[in-house]
Amino acid sequence: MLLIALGLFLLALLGAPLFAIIAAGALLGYQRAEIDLAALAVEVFRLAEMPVLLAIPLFTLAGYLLGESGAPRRLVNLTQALFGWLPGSLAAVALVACAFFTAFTGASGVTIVALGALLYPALQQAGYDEHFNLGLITTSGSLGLLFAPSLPLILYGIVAQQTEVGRGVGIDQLFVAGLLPGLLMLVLLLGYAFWHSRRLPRERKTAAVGPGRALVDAAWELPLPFIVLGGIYSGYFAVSEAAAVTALYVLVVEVVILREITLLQLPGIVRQAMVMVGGILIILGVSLASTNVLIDAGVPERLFDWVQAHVSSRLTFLLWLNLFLLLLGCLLDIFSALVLVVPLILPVAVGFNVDPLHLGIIFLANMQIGYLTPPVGLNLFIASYRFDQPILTLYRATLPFLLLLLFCVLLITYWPWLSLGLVGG
Amino acid sequence: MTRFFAGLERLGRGLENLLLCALLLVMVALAVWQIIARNFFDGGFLWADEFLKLLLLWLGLAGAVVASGEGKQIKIDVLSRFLPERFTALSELVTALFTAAVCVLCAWHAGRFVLMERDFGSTLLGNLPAWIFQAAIPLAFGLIAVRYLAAAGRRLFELIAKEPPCS
Amino acid sequence: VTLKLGTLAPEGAAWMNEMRRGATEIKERTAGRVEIKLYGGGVMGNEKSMLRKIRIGQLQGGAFTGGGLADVYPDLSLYGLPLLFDSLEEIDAVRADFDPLLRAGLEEHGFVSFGFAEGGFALLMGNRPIVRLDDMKGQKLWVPEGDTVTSAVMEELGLSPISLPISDVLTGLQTGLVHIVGVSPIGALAFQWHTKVKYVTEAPMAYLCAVLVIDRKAFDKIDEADRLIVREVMERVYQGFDRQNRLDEAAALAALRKQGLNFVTPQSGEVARMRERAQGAMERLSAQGAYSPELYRRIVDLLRERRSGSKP
Ligand code: NA
Ligand code: NA
Repeated sequence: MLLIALGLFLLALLGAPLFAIIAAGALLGYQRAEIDLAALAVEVFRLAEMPVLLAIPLFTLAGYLLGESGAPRRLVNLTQALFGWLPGSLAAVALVACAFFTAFTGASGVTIVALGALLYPALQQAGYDEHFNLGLITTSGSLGLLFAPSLPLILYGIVAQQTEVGRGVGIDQLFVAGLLPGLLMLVLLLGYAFWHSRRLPRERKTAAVGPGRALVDAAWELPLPFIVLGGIYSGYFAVSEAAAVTALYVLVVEVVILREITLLQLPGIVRQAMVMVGGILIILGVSLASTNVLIDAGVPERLFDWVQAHVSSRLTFLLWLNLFLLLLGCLLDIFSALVLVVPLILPVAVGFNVDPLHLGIIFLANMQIGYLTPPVGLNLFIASYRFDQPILTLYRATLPFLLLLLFCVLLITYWPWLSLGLVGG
Repeated sequence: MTRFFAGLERLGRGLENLLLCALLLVMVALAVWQIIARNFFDGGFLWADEFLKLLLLWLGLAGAVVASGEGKQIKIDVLSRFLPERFTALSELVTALFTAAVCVLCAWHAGRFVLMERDFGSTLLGNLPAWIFQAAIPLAFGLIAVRYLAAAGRRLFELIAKEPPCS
Repeated sequence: VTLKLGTLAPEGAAWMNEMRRGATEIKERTAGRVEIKLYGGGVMGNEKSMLRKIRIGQLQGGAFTGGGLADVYPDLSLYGLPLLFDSLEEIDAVRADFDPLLRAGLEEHGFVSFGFAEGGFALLMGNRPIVRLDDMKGQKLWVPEGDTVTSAVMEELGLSPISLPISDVLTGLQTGLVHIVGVSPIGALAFQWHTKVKYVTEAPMAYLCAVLVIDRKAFDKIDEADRLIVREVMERVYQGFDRQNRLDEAAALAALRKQGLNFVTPQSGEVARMRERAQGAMERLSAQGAYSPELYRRIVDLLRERRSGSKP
C-alpha cells in the first residue's frame, strides 16, 4: 500500500496529470474497500448536481476575454492617471491594477502575462531597480486572490458546501470575508512599494493620458465590479447569475462594442479559457471520488480524533495549519489543493471552533504565498518564462514581498475579526 | 500523407472549438434568459437550472479532453524541470502511459455505470433517459486515453529515433 | 455484515444521534455481527446519488423523503400529494391503513423499510400574506428539485413553480429567485429560511415524511435471528421519530411566532377551491402512472367519507 502511494507520488513529481493521480488513488481505494469501481463515475456525475459551479466557466470566460482585449492597457492608464502624482506611483499602479485583474482571472498566470507585459518595461523605464520590478510583478500575479469573484474563492465555497458542516458556507459571504484581508495585503505591499521608491526621482507626468480621457476610455470596464458585487449584495443576482451577466457583458463590450476581439479570435480564446476550466473541473470530479473513498472509510473522523489527541488548543492548531498549508502551497496547484485538502481539514478546523469562512481565507492566503515559494511556486516559473530571467534571480527578487505576505497571513490567521467582522450574523 | 494528418488535426481542432463555443454560448444565453424571464415575464423554463448543470458537466469534460490534447492538464511537474532532457522524454512516456491506463479504467467503469443507469431507467429533466447525458463521462475518459496514448507513441518514436546507432 | 446508510440529515442533529444509538444497540445485541455505519449531512450526495450508490452496492440503504424514492416505487408519492390532507387526524386515519401497504410495496420493489417518520405539514411562507390562491399569482413558488408531481399540480393551479435544490433556496429567497416556499416549521428553522420571510399561512399544503430503507439483497445476507433484532430496533427508533415530530413541530411553530413572523389563515372556501383544481391534476397524473390510480382513489374516498361523516 505504502509502495503504491510512493509510486503515485513519484509519478506526480515526474509530471503525470494530477487528475490521473487522484483518479488512480480513488480507484485503488474503492478496490480495497470492495466497492464497485463504477462509484467513481457516480461521483464524477455529481459535478452536474452542484449549485454555483456554473460560475466557474462564466467568470473564466470573462477573465480571458478581458485579458485579450485592450482592458489591461486601459486599466493601467486609468490607475496611472489617478495615482500618477505620487512618488512610486507606478509601483502602486501595478499593484492595484493586478489585484483588480486577478480577481477576475483567478490567478491563473493571466495577470502576469497580460499586465506584466505592459508594466515591466514601464517600471524599468521609470528607474526602479530590476529586482524590485521582477518581485513586484511576480507577486502581483496572485494578489487579489481574496477579492470577489476570484475562482479559488468560489471553489472553496463549493467544496465546503459539499463537505457540509452544520452551517453552510455562502459564496456571497466568502466574498465579503475576503475583502479586509485582501485590502490588508494590498495596503502593506503598497506601503513597501512607496518606501522602496522614496529615493526615486518624482516621476514626471508619466501618465499616457489625462484622468478624464482615461476614465472615458475605461468606461465600459469600470462597471464590472459593480455588476458582480453590487448585483450579488443588492440581492438582484445569485452568484452564478452574476457570472452569466458578467460573461455576456464582457462578450458584448469587447466583441461587439469595442471590437477589440474579432469573431475569428473568439473560438481561440474560448478554447484557452475552457482548457483551464476543463483542467479544474476534471480534478474536482475525480477528487469527489477520492474524498468519497476517505469518507466511506471514516478517515475524517479518525483524523479529527488524532489531531485532537495531539493538539490541545486552537492556537497551536492554527499554527500547525499554517505550516501545513505553506508546505502544501509549495507543492500543489491551488485548485488541486482546494479539492483534496479542504474536505479533510474543514471538519477538524470546525471542531477547533474555526469558522469555515475564516478557514477559507486562511487557506487561500497561504496558497497565495505558495505561488511565490521556492522551489516550485507557479508564478516564479511563469515570470521566469515571461521575462526570460533565471529562476534563482526570481527566488531572490520575490523574497521581501514573500516576507511581507507571510506577516499578512499570520495577522489573518490569528485575528479572525479581519475575515469575519464585515460578514455579521 | 503528413499533409493529410495535418488537415485532420486542423479539422479536429475546429470541431473542438465549435463544440466548446456552442456549449459555452448556449450556457451564457440560457442563464441570462432565465434572469430576464424571471424579472420581466414572470416565467422561465422549469428545466433550465437542471439543464445548465448538465451543460456544465459536458463543458468541463470537453475542456478536459481538449486540455489533454494540448498537454495542458494541471500537474505538479517539479522533477521534470530539473531533469536532463534525455530523461524527460522517458518520464513523459511513462506518465503518458500511466495516464492512458487510468483513463481506460475510468472509461470502462463509467461505461458500466451508464449501462446500469439505462437498465434501471433513471430519468433527468422530467422524463428523458439519464444515460444519454451520463454517456459523456465514459466518452470523455476514452478520448483522454486516446490523447495520452498518442502522446506516448510520439515520445516512444522520439526516443527510438534519437537513440545513437550503436552504443 | 456491515450496512452503510446515507442520509441528508446533518451530522449532530438529534435524528443522527438517535440513529447512532440504535446502531450501537444492534451491534451489541448481535455480538458485532451486524454493524451499521451512518453517513450524514449529504456526504454521499443527494437522494439520486444515494440511490445510484445503493444500486452499485456502495451503500446498502438510507433515509429518503417519499419523493426521493418515487423513482423506485412511485406510490411513495401518495402521502406527499399537495392539498390532500386537512389535519393530522386525517393523516393518522389514512396511515393506519396505508403504512403496511406501502411497506409491502417497497419490499416488492427490493427495499426493506422500518416505518415512516412524520416530517409535519409544509406551510406556505413568503414575504406577502397569502390568504387566497390569487395572492400567489405572479410569485415564484419553490418546489423541491425532481418533485414533478407537485410541479404539475402547481402549474394546474396557474402558479409558476421553480425547482431548485434545497441548498439554493436561502439565496433564492434573498435574491427574489423564489418568493414562496412550502416548508415545515422545523425545516424553515433548520435551513434559516424563516429569516427571509415575513408571513406564514396556517393551512396544511402537503404532508412530509421520511422513510428508512435497506436494500433487500443486503438485508437477506443477515441471519434470520439478527434480522429480527435489526427490525425491532430500527422500527422502535423510527416510531420514536414519528411521535417526537409533533412535539418538535409545536415547539418550532412557537419559535417562529417568537421570531416575529406573522401568521395568517386562508379565507374560507379558498383551500377547498384550490383542492378542487389540484384534484384534476392529480387524477391525470395517476392515470399517467405517476402513482397507482387505485390507491389514490382509496385515499380520496377514505377522506371524503371521514369529512362527510364528521360534518353533522
Ligand atoms: Na503553488
Ligand atoms: Na505549482
